[in-house]
Amino acid sequence: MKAVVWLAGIATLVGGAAYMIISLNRWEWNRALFFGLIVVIAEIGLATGLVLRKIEAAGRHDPETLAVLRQTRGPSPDRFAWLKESNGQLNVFITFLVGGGVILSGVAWVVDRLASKTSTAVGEERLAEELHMIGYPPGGLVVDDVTVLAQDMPGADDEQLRKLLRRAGRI
Amino acid sequence: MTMRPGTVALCVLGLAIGVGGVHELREATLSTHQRQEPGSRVELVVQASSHRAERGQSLQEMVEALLVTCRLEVTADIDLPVRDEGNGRFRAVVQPDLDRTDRRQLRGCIEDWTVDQLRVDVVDFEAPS
Repeated sequence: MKAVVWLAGIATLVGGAAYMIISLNRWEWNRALFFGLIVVIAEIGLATGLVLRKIEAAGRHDPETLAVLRQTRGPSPDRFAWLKESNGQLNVFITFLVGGGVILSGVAWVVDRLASKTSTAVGEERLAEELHMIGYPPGGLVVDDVTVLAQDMPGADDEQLRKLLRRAGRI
Repeated sequence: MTMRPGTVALCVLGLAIGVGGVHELREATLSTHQRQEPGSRVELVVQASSHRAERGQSLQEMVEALLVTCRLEVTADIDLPVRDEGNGRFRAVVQPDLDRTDRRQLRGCIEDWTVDQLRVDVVDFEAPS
């Protein structure tokens, strides 16, 4: 049966190619296109048959060789075998999980305690003392009369002071 | 990779056949036109038949449509209407005369699958009576 199919495919290919050339020679372009299409279809069919035959030939195997290969195959590694080990106590994985949580909680508690110690009463007093250096003067920014009068003295030309007096409306 | 002499010979033979075939096909389909006398004429005789044609379309109409279409392949005019000689045979006057290539082109177009349900064979190119 296969031989008949192969022969039919080859005959279609050869016949289609022959009629395509004849049609071209006779200037019958529609017929040439039709037979060219037949040639392409037959070619695809034959090529597919050849590929399938190759695949089928590659798939054939010797049962004895296959059995030997399967017997000599090494055991596949079980990377999670340690999870299966159990002697009735807590599992190793759970032990690691709980222990890691306890350690992390302890570290967090220590960090929290250290951070709370950084803001003490002594530290607050030191901060107030340092802020005093950049604070307003005791009398505020209002210019007293002595300073205003001092501006009238010859040579007492202070640009910053005059700016302050202008803002206060004293000049 | 070594090839046996027989394989090499087959390859050379196949290559020669392929090149020769392409060359022959090129020669066969190459247009080589010759100038024709302006007043010359030739009569085209065709044998036509139709199968399951559309109703209302006569065989003469279909033949005329085919000839009008195929006239575009050649540098000549076809006098319409074509003359019905009975039994599916029609005769048309083509002018000017057709050279060898034009006759092959016109015959190919007429005998090709150009119009559905219509089969026309060129009987002959005859000298005008």
